[in-house]
Amino acid sequence: MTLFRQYFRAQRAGLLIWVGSNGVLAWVLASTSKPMELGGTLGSFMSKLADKFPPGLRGMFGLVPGLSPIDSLIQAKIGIWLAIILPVYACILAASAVSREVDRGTADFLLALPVRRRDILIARWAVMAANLGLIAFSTWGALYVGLKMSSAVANFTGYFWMTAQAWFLGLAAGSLAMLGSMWAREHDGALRWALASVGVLFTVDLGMRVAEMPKLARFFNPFTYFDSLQPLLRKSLVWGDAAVLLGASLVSLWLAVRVFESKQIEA
Amino acid sequence: MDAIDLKGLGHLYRNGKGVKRVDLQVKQGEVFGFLGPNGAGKTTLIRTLLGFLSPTAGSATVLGLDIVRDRRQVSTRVGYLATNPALYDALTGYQNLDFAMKVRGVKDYARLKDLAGRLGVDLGQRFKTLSRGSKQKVAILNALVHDPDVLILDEPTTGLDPLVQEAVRSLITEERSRGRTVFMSSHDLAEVEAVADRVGIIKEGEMVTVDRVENLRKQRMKYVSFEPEGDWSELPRISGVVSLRQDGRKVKFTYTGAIPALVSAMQKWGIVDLSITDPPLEEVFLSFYGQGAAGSQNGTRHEGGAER
Repeated sequence: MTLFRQYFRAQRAGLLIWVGSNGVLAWVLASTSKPMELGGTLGSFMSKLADKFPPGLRGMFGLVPGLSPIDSLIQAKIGIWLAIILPVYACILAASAVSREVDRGTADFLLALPVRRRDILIARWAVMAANLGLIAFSTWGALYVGLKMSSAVANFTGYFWMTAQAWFLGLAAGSLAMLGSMWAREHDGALRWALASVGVLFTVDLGMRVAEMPKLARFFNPFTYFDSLQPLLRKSLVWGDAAVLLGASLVSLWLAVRVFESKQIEA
Repeated sequence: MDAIDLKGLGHLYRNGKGVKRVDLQVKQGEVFGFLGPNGAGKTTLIRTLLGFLSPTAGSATVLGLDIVRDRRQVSTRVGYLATNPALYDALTGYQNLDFAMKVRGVKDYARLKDLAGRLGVDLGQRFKTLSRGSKQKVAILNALVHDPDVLILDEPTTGLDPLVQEAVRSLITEERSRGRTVFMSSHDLAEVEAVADRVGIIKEGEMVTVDRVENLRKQRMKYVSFEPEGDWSELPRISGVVSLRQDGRKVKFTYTGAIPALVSAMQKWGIVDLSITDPPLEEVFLSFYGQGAAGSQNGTRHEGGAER
Protein backbone atom coordinates (compact mmCIF):
# COMPACT_ATOMS: atom_id res chain seq x y z
CA MET A 1 0.00 0.00 0.00
CA THR A 2 2.90 2.35 0.73
CA LEU A 3 4.30 1.73 -2.75
CA PHE A 4 0.87 2.42 -4.27
CA ARG A 5 0.41 5.65 -2.31
CA GLN A 6 3.87 6.93 -3.13
CA TYR A 7 3.54 6.30 -6.89
CA PHE A 8 0.01 7.68 -6.97
CA ARG A 9 1.27 10.81 -5.24
CA ALA A 10 4.16 11.12 -7.69
CA GLN A 11 1.70 10.94 -10.62
CA ARG A 12 -1.02 13.16 -9.24
CA ALA A 13 -0.08 16.38 -11.10
CA GLY A 14 -0.37 14.65 -14.47
CA LEU A 15 -3.53 12.89 -13.38
CA LEU A 16 -5.21 16.17 -12.45
CA ILE A 17 -4.50 17.58 -15.90
CA TRP A 18 -5.95 14.51 -17.61
CA VAL A 19 -9.01 14.37 -15.36
CA GLY A 20 -9.60 18.11 -15.72
CA SER A 21 -9.25 18.28 -19.51
CA ASN A 22 -11.42 15.20 -20.12
CA GLY A 23 -14.01 16.39 -17.64
CA VAL A 24 -14.25 19.84 -19.22
CA LEU A 25 -14.53 18.35 -22.69
CA ALA A 26 -17.30 15.96 -21.62
CA TRP A 27 -19.15 18.68 -19.71
CA VAL A 28 -19.07 21.11 -22.67
CA LEU A 29 -20.31 18.41 -25.03
CA ALA A 30 -23.06 17.30 -22.64
CA SER A 31 -24.28 20.77 -21.79
CA THR A 32 -24.52 21.82 -25.46
CA SER A 33 -26.14 18.64 -26.78
CA LYS A 34 -29.67 19.46 -25.58
CA PRO A 35 -29.87 22.91 -27.24
CA MET A 36 -28.43 21.36 -30.40
CA GLU A 37 -31.04 18.60 -30.29
CA LEU A 38 -33.89 21.08 -29.77
CA GLY A 39 -32.75 23.11 -32.75
CA GLY A 40 -32.71 19.98 -34.88
CA THR A 41 -29.04 20.55 -35.66
CA LEU A 42 -27.87 17.41 -33.93
CA GLY A 43 -30.25 14.96 -35.62
CA SER A 44 -29.56 16.39 -39.06
CA PHE A 45 -25.78 16.43 -38.39
CA MET A 46 -25.76 12.80 -37.24
CA SER A 47 -27.84 11.55 -40.16
CA LYS A 48 -25.65 13.40 -42.68
CA LEU A 49 -22.62 11.85 -40.99
CA ALA A 50 -24.18 8.38 -41.20
CA ASP A 51 -24.61 8.73 -44.96
CA LYS A 52 -20.90 9.45 -45.38
CA PHE A 53 -19.67 6.56 -43.20
CA PRO A 54 -18.97 3.03 -44.44
CA PRO A 55 -21.47 0.54 -42.96
CA GLY A 56 -18.73 -1.15 -40.93
CA LEU A 57 -18.00 2.06 -39.06
CA ARG A 58 -21.55 3.31 -38.50
CA GLY A 59 -22.05 1.23 -35.36
CA MET A 60 -18.71 2.29 -33.97
CA PHE A 61 -19.60 5.95 -34.36
CA GLY A 62 -23.15 5.72 -33.05
CA LEU A 63 -24.72 6.16 -36.43
CA VAL A 64 -27.33 3.45 -36.15
CA PRO A 65 -31.12 3.60 -36.13
CA GLY A 66 -32.78 3.46 -32.75
CA LEU A 67 -30.32 5.66 -30.89
CA SER A 68 -31.39 9.13 -29.85
CA PRO A 69 -29.29 11.97 -31.33
CA ILE A 70 -27.79 12.65 -27.89
CA ASP A 71 -26.83 9.00 -27.40
CA SER A 72 -25.34 8.96 -30.89
CA LEU A 73 -23.33 12.09 -30.15
CA ILE A 74 -22.03 10.83 -26.81
CA GLN A 75 -21.13 7.46 -28.28
CA ALA A 76 -19.48 8.95 -31.34
CA LYS A 77 -17.54 11.62 -29.48
CA ILE A 78 -16.93 10.40 -25.91
CA GLY A 79 -16.87 6.65 -26.67
CA ILE A 80 -14.26 6.94 -29.41
CA TRP A 81 -12.40 9.66 -27.53
CA LEU A 82 -12.04 7.41 -24.48
CA ALA A 83 -11.00 4.48 -26.69
CA ILE A 84 -8.06 6.58 -27.90
CA ILE A 85 -7.20 8.69 -24.91
CA LEU A 86 -7.26 5.99 -22.22
CA PRO A 87 -4.81 3.68 -24.08
CA VAL A 88 -2.57 6.71 -24.78
CA TYR A 89 -2.56 7.74 -21.11
CA ALA A 90 -2.03 4.13 -20.04
CA CYS A 91 0.95 3.82 -22.38
CA ILE A 92 2.52 7.00 -21.02
CA LEU A 93 2.18 5.72 -17.48
CA ALA A 94 3.17 2.14 -18.27
CA ALA A 95 6.20 3.04 -20.34
CA SER A 96 7.46 5.19 -17.50
CA ALA A 97 6.79 2.63 -14.77
CA VAL A 98 10.27 1.16 -14.99
CA SER A 99 12.23 2.67 -17.88
CA ARG A 100 11.88 6.29 -16.73
CA GLU A 101 12.84 5.28 -13.19
CA VAL A 102 15.98 3.65 -14.55
CA ASP A 103 16.73 6.68 -16.76
CA ARG A 104 16.29 9.14 -13.92
CA GLY A 105 18.04 7.01 -11.31
CA THR A 106 15.03 6.71 -9.01
CA ALA A 107 15.14 2.95 -9.64
CA ASP A 108 18.24 2.87 -7.43
CA PHE A 109 16.34 4.58 -4.63
CA LEU A 110 13.49 2.08 -4.93
CA LEU A 111 15.52 -1.08 -5.40
CA ALA A 112 17.74 -0.29 -2.42
CA LEU A 113 14.64 -0.53 -0.24
CA PRO A 114 13.50 -3.85 1.22
CA VAL A 115 10.78 -4.41 -1.36
CA ARG A 116 10.30 -7.13 -3.93
CA ARG A 117 10.51 -6.09 -7.56
CA ARG A 118 7.17 -7.84 -8.03
CA ASP A 119 5.55 -5.54 -5.49
CA ILE A 120 6.96 -2.44 -7.20
CA LEU A 121 5.54 -3.44 -10.56
CA ILE A 122 2.16 -4.52 -9.20
CA ALA A 123 1.87 -1.19 -7.35
CA ARG A 124 2.58 0.67 -10.57
CA TRP A 125 0.03 -1.40 -12.45
CA ALA A 126 -2.53 -0.74 -9.73
CA VAL A 127 -1.87 3.02 -9.91
CA MET A 128 -2.33 2.86 -13.67
CA ALA A 129 -5.64 1.02 -13.21
CA ALA A 130 -6.81 3.52 -10.58
CA ASN A 131 -5.81 6.56 -12.63
CA LEU A 132 -7.50 5.19 -15.74
CA GLY A 133 -10.61 4.66 -13.65
CA LEU A 134 -10.45 8.21 -12.30
CA ILE A 135 -10.12 9.69 -15.78
CA ALA A 136 -12.85 7.46 -17.25
CA PHE A 137 -15.39 7.91 -14.50
CA SER A 138 -14.75 11.61 -13.98
CA THR A 139 -15.55 11.94 -17.68
CA TRP A 140 -18.77 10.04 -17.08
CA GLY A 141 -19.46 12.27 -14.06
CA ALA A 142 -18.99 15.41 -16.16
CA LEU A 143 -21.37 13.99 -18.79
CA TYR A 144 -23.91 13.26 -16.09
CA VAL A 145 -23.70 16.76 -14.60
CA GLY A 146 -23.75 18.48 -18.01
CA LEU A 147 -26.77 16.52 -19.27
CA LYS A 148 -28.66 16.88 -15.99
CA MET A 149 -28.03 20.62 -15.98
CA SER A 150 -29.55 20.93 -19.43
CA SER A 151 -32.38 18.52 -18.46
CA ALA A 152 -31.60 16.21 -21.36
CA VAL A 153 -33.07 12.72 -21.48
CA ALA A 154 -30.04 10.48 -21.74
CA ASN A 155 -28.91 6.88 -21.30
CA PHE A 156 -26.72 7.38 -18.21
CA THR A 157 -26.45 3.66 -17.46
CA GLY A 158 -25.36 2.98 -21.03
CA TYR A 159 -22.75 5.74 -20.84
CA PHE A 160 -21.46 4.30 -17.58
CA TRP A 161 -20.91 0.85 -19.09
CA MET A 162 -19.41 2.34 -22.24
CA THR A 163 -16.92 4.14 -20.02
CA ALA A 164 -16.22 0.94 -18.10
CA GLN A 165 -15.58 -0.90 -21.37
CA ALA A 166 -13.08 1.82 -22.35
CA TRP A 167 -11.39 1.40 -18.96
CA PHE A 168 -10.81 -2.30 -19.70
CA LEU A 169 -9.35 -1.34 -23.09
CA GLY A 170 -7.02 1.22 -21.50
CA LEU A 171 -5.90 -1.29 -18.89
CA ALA A 172 -5.10 -3.90 -21.53
CA ALA A 173 -3.18 -1.40 -23.69
CA GLY A 174 -1.24 -0.16 -20.65
CA SER A 175 -0.41 -3.66 -19.47
CA LEU A 176 0.89 -4.63 -22.90
CA ALA A 177 2.95 -1.41 -23.02
CA MET A 178 4.33 -2.18 -19.56
CA LEU A 179 5.40 -5.62 -20.74
CA GLY A 180 7.02 -4.15 -23.86
CA SER A 181 8.86 -1.51 -21.84
CA MET A 182 10.70 -4.24 -19.93
CA TRP A 183 13.01 -4.63 -22.93
CA ALA A 184 13.43 -0.91 -23.52
CA ARG A 185 16.87 0.53 -22.96
CA GLU A 186 15.57 4.04 -22.33
CA HIS A 187 12.27 5.73 -21.55
CA ASP A 188 11.82 7.83 -24.69
CA GLY A 189 12.20 4.77 -26.88
CA ALA A 190 9.71 2.82 -24.77
CA LEU A 191 7.17 5.62 -24.98
CA ARG A 192 7.58 6.09 -28.73
CA TRP A 193 7.07 2.37 -29.34
CA ALA A 194 4.03 2.21 -27.08
CA LEU A 195 2.30 5.22 -28.64
CA ALA A 196 3.13 4.10 -32.17
CA SER A 197 1.70 0.67 -31.36
CA VAL A 198 -1.55 2.25 -30.11
CA GLY A 199 -1.81 4.30 -33.30
CA VAL A 200 -1.10 1.35 -35.57
CA LEU A 201 -3.47 -1.02 -33.75
CA PHE A 202 -6.27 1.56 -33.73
CA THR A 203 -5.83 2.21 -37.45
CA VAL A 204 -5.64 -1.49 -38.28
CA ASP A 205 -8.82 -2.12 -36.30
CA LEU A 206 -10.57 0.73 -38.08
CA GLY A 207 -9.49 -0.62 -41.45
CA MET A 208 -10.61 -4.14 -40.63
CA ARG A 209 -13.99 -2.87 -39.45
CA VAL A 210 -14.44 -0.89 -42.67
CA ALA A 211 -13.65 -4.08 -44.55
CA GLU A 212 -16.27 -5.77 -42.35
CA MET A 213 -13.87 -8.50 -41.29
CA PRO A 214 -15.22 -10.85 -38.62
CA LYS A 215 -14.16 -10.45 -35.00
CA LEU A 216 -12.24 -13.73 -35.14
CA ALA A 217 -9.93 -12.30 -37.81
CA ARG A 218 -9.24 -9.30 -35.56
CA PHE A 219 -8.69 -11.32 -32.39
CA PHE A 220 -5.07 -10.15 -31.85
CA ASN A 221 -6.02 -6.51 -31.52
CA PRO A 222 -7.20 -5.08 -28.17
CA PHE A 223 -9.36 -2.51 -30.00
CA THR A 224 -11.44 -5.43 -31.34
CA TYR A 225 -12.84 -5.86 -27.84
CA PHE A 226 -14.17 -2.33 -27.54
CA ASP A 227 -17.40 -1.33 -29.19
CA SER A 228 -18.99 1.78 -27.72
CA LEU A 229 -22.39 0.94 -29.21
CA GLN A 230 -22.99 -2.37 -27.45
CA PRO A 231 -22.92 -1.10 -23.84
CA LEU A 232 -25.38 1.65 -24.82
CA LEU A 233 -27.81 -0.79 -26.37
CA ARG A 234 -27.42 -3.44 -23.67
CA LYS A 235 -27.09 -1.01 -20.75
CA SER A 236 -24.45 -3.34 -19.37
CA LEU A 237 -20.85 -4.34 -19.90
CA VAL A 238 -20.01 -6.62 -22.83
CA TRP A 239 -18.78 -9.25 -20.44
CA GLY A 240 -16.99 -11.47 -22.96
CA ASP A 241 -14.94 -8.60 -24.37
CA ALA A 242 -14.22 -7.23 -20.91
CA ALA A 243 -13.02 -10.68 -19.82
CA VAL A 244 -10.66 -10.92 -22.80
CA LEU A 245 -9.23 -7.45 -22.08
CA LEU A 246 -8.85 -8.19 -18.38
CA GLY A 247 -7.25 -11.55 -19.15
CA ALA A 248 -4.77 -9.89 -21.53
CA SER A 249 -3.98 -7.32 -18.83
CA LEU A 250 -3.31 -9.91 -16.15
CA VAL A 251 -1.21 -12.15 -18.41
CA SER A 252 0.83 -9.11 -19.52
CA LEU A 253 1.34 -8.07 -15.91
CA TRP A 254 2.44 -11.57 -14.94
CA LEU A 255 4.92 -11.73 -17.81
CA ALA A 256 6.19 -8.21 -17.04
CA VAL A 257 6.82 -9.22 -13.42
CA ARG A 258 8.77 -12.29 -14.57
CA VAL A 259 10.94 -10.17 -16.87
CA PHE A 260 11.41 -7.37 -14.31
CA GLU A 261 12.56 -9.79 -11.63
CA SER A 262 15.58 -10.74 -13.71
CA LYS A 263 16.14 -7.36 -15.36
CA GLN A 264 19.64 -5.94 -14.98
CA ILE A 265 19.44 -2.38 -13.71
CA GLU A 266 22.54 -0.74 -15.13
CA ALA A 267 23.80 2.68 -14.10
CA MET B 1 31.61 -12.81 10.79
CA ASP B 2 32.70 -10.35 8.11
CA ALA B 3 30.35 -7.50 7.31
CA ILE B 4 30.95 -8.02 3.60
CA ASP B 5 32.35 -11.20 2.10
CA LEU B 6 32.86 -11.42 -1.64
CA LYS B 7 33.83 -14.83 -3.03
CA GLY B 8 34.84 -14.46 -6.64
CA LEU B 9 31.96 -12.07 -7.21
CA GLY B 10 31.66 -10.77 -10.74
CA HIS B 11 29.25 -9.25 -13.20
CA LEU B 12 30.24 -9.12 -16.83
CA TYR B 13 28.21 -7.17 -19.38
CA ARG B 14 27.57 -8.49 -22.85
CA ASN B 15 30.57 -6.55 -24.15
CA GLY B 16 32.84 -8.46 -21.78
CA LYS B 17 33.44 -5.45 -19.52
CA GLY B 18 32.42 -5.22 -15.88
CA VAL B 19 33.79 -6.94 -12.82
CA LYS B 20 35.59 -10.24 -13.38
CA ARG B 21 36.10 -11.94 -10.02
CA VAL B 22 36.58 -10.15 -6.74
CA ASP B 23 37.55 -11.82 -3.48
CA LEU B 24 37.30 -9.49 -0.56
CA GLN B 25 36.40 -9.45 3.11
CA VAL B 26 35.44 -6.30 4.96
CA LYS B 27 35.32 -6.52 8.74
CA GLN B 28 32.57 -5.08 10.87
CA GLY B 29 33.33 -1.55 11.99
CA GLU B 30 35.79 -1.02 9.16
CA VAL B 31 35.84 1.73 6.54
CA PHE B 32 36.89 0.17 3.25
CA GLY B 33 37.57 2.39 0.27
CA PHE B 34 38.16 1.22 -3.22
CA LEU B 35 39.73 3.31 -5.87
CA GLY B 36 39.72 3.24 -9.59
CA PRO B 37 39.13 5.53 -12.54
CA ASN B 38 35.84 5.70 -14.41
CA GLY B 39 35.05 2.38 -16.06
CA ALA B 40 37.22 0.32 -13.72
CA GLY B 41 34.20 -1.53 -12.31
CA LYS B 42 33.53 0.29 -9.04
CA THR B 43 29.87 1.03 -9.66
CA THR B 44 29.28 -2.40 -11.21
CA LEU B 45 30.66 -4.06 -8.10
CA ILE B 46 28.41 -1.97 -5.85
CA ARG B 47 25.33 -2.58 -8.01
CA THR B 48 25.98 -6.30 -7.96
CA LEU B 49 26.36 -6.22 -4.20
CA LEU B 50 23.02 -4.40 -3.89
CA GLY B 51 21.18 -6.79 -6.21
CA PHE B 52 20.61 -4.31 -9.07
CA LEU B 53 22.73 -6.60 -11.24
CA SER B 54 22.85 -10.39 -10.98
CA PRO B 55 26.25 -11.95 -10.35
CA THR B 56 27.63 -13.73 -13.39
CA ALA B 57 30.29 -15.32 -11.18
CA GLY B 58 30.80 -16.14 -7.53
CA SER B 59 28.72 -15.14 -4.55
CA ALA B 60 28.67 -12.64 -1.72
CA THR B 61 27.21 -12.13 1.72
CA VAL B 62 26.47 -8.98 3.68
CA LEU B 63 26.32 -9.57 7.44
CA GLY B 64 26.08 -13.28 6.66
CA LEU B 65 23.08 -12.83 4.35
CA ASP B 66 23.30 -13.94 0.74
CA ILE B 67 22.98 -10.96 -1.60
CA VAL B 68 20.74 -12.84 -4.03
CA ARG B 69 18.66 -15.13 -1.83
CA ASP B 70 18.25 -12.71 1.09
CA ARG B 71 18.15 -9.43 -0.87
CA ARG B 72 15.28 -7.94 1.13
CA GLN B 73 16.90 -8.66 4.50
CA VAL B 74 20.18 -7.26 3.19
CA SER B 75 18.36 -4.07 2.14
CA THR B 76 16.96 -3.56 5.62
CA ARG B 77 20.48 -3.47 7.07
CA VAL B 78 22.24 -1.53 4.35
CA GLY B 79 22.22 2.19 3.59
CA TYR B 80 23.10 3.13 0.03
CA LEU B 81 24.21 6.42 -1.44
CA ALA B 82 24.54 6.67 -5.22
CA THR B 83 26.95 8.92 -7.11
CA ASN B 84 24.11 11.01 -8.54
CA PRO B 85 21.30 10.37 -6.13
CA ALA B 86 17.84 10.70 -7.60
CA LEU B 87 14.67 10.77 -5.57
CA TYR B 88 11.19 11.68 -6.75
CA ASP B 89 11.18 15.21 -8.14
CA ALA B 90 7.48 15.79 -7.53
CA LEU B 91 7.77 14.95 -3.84
CA THR B 92 9.40 16.98 -1.11
CA GLY B 93 12.51 15.73 0.62
CA TYR B 94 10.38 14.78 3.61
CA GLN B 95 7.82 12.91 1.50
CA ASN B 96 10.60 10.94 -0.18
CA LEU B 97 12.19 10.04 3.14
CA ASP B 98 8.85 9.33 4.79
CA PHE B 99 8.07 6.87 2.00
CA ALA B 100 11.44 5.13 2.39
CA MET B 101 11.04 4.96 6.16
CA LYS B 102 7.55 3.50 5.90
CA VAL B 103 8.78 0.83 3.48
CA ARG B 104 11.60 0.05 5.90
CA GLY B 105 9.22 -0.03 8.83
CA VAL B 106 11.04 2.77 10.66
CA LYS B 107 8.77 4.46 13.17
CA ASP B 108 11.23 6.61 15.06
CA TYR B 109 11.58 9.96 13.28
CA ALA B 110 13.90 11.45 15.93
CA ARG B 111 17.02 10.34 14.03
CA LEU B 112 15.69 11.95 10.87
CA LYS B 113 15.12 15.25 12.67
CA ASP B 114 18.54 15.08 14.29
CA LEU B 115 20.43 14.31 11.08
CA ALA B 116 18.45 16.85 9.03
CA GLY B 117 19.25 19.51 11.61
CA ARG B 118 22.93 18.69 11.58
CA LEU B 119 23.15 18.70 7.79
CA GLY B 120 21.06 21.86 7.63
CA VAL B 121 18.74 20.62 4.92
CA ASP B 122 15.24 21.93 4.25
CA LEU B 123 13.03 18.88 3.82
CA GLY B 124 9.93 20.90 2.98
CA GLN B 125 11.08 21.76 -0.56
CA ARG B 126 10.32 19.69 -3.61
CA PHE B 127 13.29 17.52 -4.52
CA LYS B 128 13.58 18.99 -8.01
CA THR B 129 13.97 22.52 -6.65
CA LEU B 130 16.93 21.61 -4.44
CA SER B 131 20.55 22.39 -5.31
CA ARG B 132 22.97 19.54 -6.10
CA GLY B 133 24.42 19.71 -2.61
CA SER B 134 21.01 19.72 -0.93
CA LYS B 135 19.88 16.77 -3.03
CA GLN B 136 22.97 14.90 -1.90
CA LYS B 137 22.16 15.77 1.71
CA VAL B 138 18.64 14.36 1.36
CA ALA B 139 20.15 11.23 -0.19
CA ILE B 140 22.61 10.97 2.72
CA LEU B 141 19.66 11.14 5.11
CA ASN B 142 18.00 8.37 3.12
CA ALA B 143 21.11 6.22 3.49
CA LEU B 144 21.45 6.84 7.23
CA VAL B 145 17.99 7.36 8.62
CA HIS B 146 17.25 3.68 9.32
CA ASP B 147 20.54 3.37 11.20
CA PRO B 148 22.01 0.69 8.92
CA ASP B 149 24.78 -1.68 9.96
CA VAL B 150 26.52 -1.33 6.62
CA LEU B 151 26.83 1.80 4.50
CA ILE B 152 27.56 1.42 0.80
CA LEU B 153 28.61 4.68 -0.78
CA ASP B 154 29.33 5.09 -4.48
CA GLU B 155 31.61 8.10 -4.94
CA PRO B 156 29.75 9.97 -2.21
CA THR B 157 31.38 13.38 -2.61
CA THR B 158 31.68 13.65 -6.38
CA GLY B 159 30.65 17.10 -7.59
CA LEU B 160 29.96 18.48 -4.13
CA ASP B 161 31.22 21.69 -2.64
CA PRO B 162 33.90 21.39 0.07
CA LEU B 163 31.44 22.04 2.91
CA VAL B 164 29.17 19.17 1.93
CA GLN B 165 32.21 16.98 1.27
CA GLU B 166 33.36 17.66 4.80
CA ALA B 167 29.90 16.86 6.16
CA VAL B 168 29.95 13.51 4.34
CA ARG B 169 33.41 12.68 5.65
CA SER B 170 32.50 13.52 9.21
CA LEU B 171 29.39 11.34 8.97
CA ILE B 172 31.48 8.44 7.67
CA THR B 173 33.92 8.85 10.54
CA GLU B 174 31.05 9.06 13.01
CA GLU B 175 29.43 5.92 11.65
CA ARG B 176 32.70 4.05 12.04
CA SER B 177 32.99 5.22 15.63
CA ARG B 178 29.49 3.78 16.19
CA GLY B 179 30.75 0.41 14.95
CA ARG B 180 29.14 0.61 11.52
CA THR B 181 30.84 -0.72 8.42
CA VAL B 182 31.41 1.57 5.47
CA PHE B 183 32.15 0.32 1.95
CA MET B 184 32.85 3.19 -0.36
CA SER B 185 34.12 3.72 -3.85
CA SER B 186 35.92 6.82 -4.93
CA HIS B 187 38.36 8.28 -7.33
CA ASP B 188 39.19 10.98 -4.81
CA LEU B 189 42.38 9.69 -3.27
CA ALA B 190 42.53 12.29 -0.52
CA GLU B 191 39.03 11.37 0.58
CA VAL B 192 39.83 7.67 0.87
CA GLU B 193 43.12 8.44 2.55
CA ALA B 194 41.29 10.60 5.10
CA VAL B 195 38.60 8.16 6.13
CA ALA B 196 39.44 4.58 5.09
CA ASP B 197 41.11 1.89 7.18
CA ARG B 198 41.87 -0.24 4.14
CA VAL B 199 41.98 0.46 0.46
CA GLY B 200 41.43 -1.68 -2.60
CA ILE B 201 42.51 -0.64 -6.05
CA ILE B 202 40.33 -1.88 -8.87
CA LYS B 203 41.60 -2.02 -12.41
CA GLU B 204 39.76 -3.31 -15.45
CA GLY B 205 37.30 -5.24 -13.31
CA GLU B 206 39.82 -6.82 -10.99
CA MET B 207 40.93 -5.85 -7.51
CA VAL B 208 44.66 -5.53 -8.03
CA THR B 209 45.59 -4.75 -4.46
CA VAL B 210 43.97 -4.61 -1.03
CA ASP B 211 45.84 -3.26 1.93
CA ARG B 212 45.79 -0.88 4.84
CA VAL B 213 46.31 2.70 3.76
CA GLU B 214 49.59 3.02 5.65
CA ASN B 215 50.89 -0.33 4.37
CA LEU B 216 50.02 0.53 0.83
CA ARG B 217 52.08 3.65 1.12
CA LYS B 218 54.96 1.77 2.67
CA GLN B 219 55.06 -1.25 0.35
CA ARG B 220 58.75 -0.82 -0.31
CA MET B 221 57.57 2.14 -2.29
CA LYS B 222 59.08 5.55 -1.67
CA TYR B 223 58.36 8.95 -3.05
CA VAL B 224 61.60 10.59 -4.15
CA SER B 225 62.24 14.25 -4.84
CA PHE B 226 65.76 14.75 -6.20
CA GLU B 227 67.64 17.79 -7.45
CA PRO B 228 70.66 16.59 -9.46
CA GLU B 229 73.83 18.54 -10.03
CA GLY B 230 74.71 17.00 -13.40
CA ASP B 231 73.22 14.85 -16.15
CA TRP B 232 70.61 12.43 -14.79
CA SER B 233 69.49 10.91 -18.11
CA GLU B 234 70.23 7.38 -16.88
CA LEU B 235 67.72 7.67 -14.03
CA PRO B 236 64.68 6.33 -15.94
CA ARG B 237 66.64 3.18 -16.74
CA ILE B 238 67.04 2.27 -13.07
CA SER B 239 64.80 -0.64 -12.18
CA GLY B 240 61.92 0.33 -9.85
CA VAL B 241 61.65 3.97 -10.94
CA VAL B 242 58.11 4.82 -12.02
CA SER B 243 55.91 7.90 -12.51
CA LEU B 244 58.92 10.03 -13.21
CA ARG B 245 58.40 13.72 -13.95
CA GLN B 246 60.42 16.90 -13.86
CA ASP B 247 59.28 19.81 -11.72
CA GLY B 248 61.60 22.77 -12.33
CA ARG B 249 65.10 21.71 -11.29
CA LYS B 250 63.73 18.78 -9.33
CA VAL B 251 62.99 15.28 -10.55
CA LYS B 252 60.15 13.50 -8.76
CA PHE B 253 59.34 9.80 -8.97
CA THR B 254 58.14 6.75 -7.10
CA TYR B 255 60.69 4.09 -6.36
CA THR B 256 60.30 0.43 -5.45
CA GLY B 257 63.58 -1.23 -4.48
CA ALA B 258 66.64 -0.93 -2.30
CA ILE B 259 67.25 2.65 -1.19
CA PRO B 260 71.10 2.35 -0.85
CA ALA B 261 71.38 1.25 -4.48
CA LEU B 262 69.34 4.24 -5.61
CA VAL B 263 71.31 6.70 -3.51
CA SER B 264 74.66 5.40 -4.73
CA ALA B 265 73.48 5.82 -8.34
CA MET B 266 72.37 9.37 -7.59
CA GLN B 267 75.71 10.24 -6.05
CA LYS B 268 77.26 9.77 -9.51
CA TRP B 269 75.14 12.66 -10.82
CA GLY B 270 75.69 14.80 -7.77
CA ILE B 271 72.99 15.56 -5.22
CA VAL B 272 71.92 19.15 -4.58
CA ASP B 273 68.77 18.19 -2.70
CA LEU B 274 67.15 14.85 -1.93
CA SER B 275 64.09 13.81 0.04
CA ILE B 276 62.78 10.26 0.30
CA THR B 277 59.36 9.91 1.95
CA ASP B 278 56.36 7.59 2.10
CA PRO B 279 54.37 8.27 -1.03
CA PRO B 280 50.99 9.97 -0.98
CA LEU B 281 48.20 7.58 -1.94
CA GLU B 282 48.02 9.28 -5.32
CA GLU B 283 51.47 7.98 -6.16
CA VAL B 284 50.52 4.47 -5.06
CA PHE B 285 47.45 4.67 -7.22
CA LEU B 286 49.45 5.90 -10.20
CA SER B 287 51.88 3.05 -9.79
CA PHE B 288 48.99 0.67 -10.52
CA TYR B 289 47.64 2.65 -13.41
CA GLY B 290 50.73 4.25 -14.82
CA GLN B 291 53.67 2.57 -16.50
CA GLY B 292 52.62 -1.02 -15.69
CA ALA B 293 54.08 -1.14 -12.22
CA ALA B 294 54.28 -4.24 -10.08
CA GLY B 295 51.00 -5.43 -8.72
CA SER B 296 48.98 -4.66 -11.80
CA GLN B 297 50.52 -7.57 -13.66
CA ASN B 298 50.78 -10.27 -11.03
CA GLY B 299 47.31 -10.78 -9.60
CA THR B 300 45.86 -9.42 -6.40
CA ARG B 301 48.17 -8.45 -3.57
CA HIS B 302 46.63 -8.59 -0.13
CA GLU B 303 47.77 -7.23 3.20
CA GLY B 304 51.35 -6.11 2.88
CA GLY B 305 52.02 -7.24 -0.62
CA ALA B 306 51.46 -11.01 -0.35
CA GLU B 307 50.73 -12.40 -3.79
CA ARG B 308 47.60 -14.47 -4.37
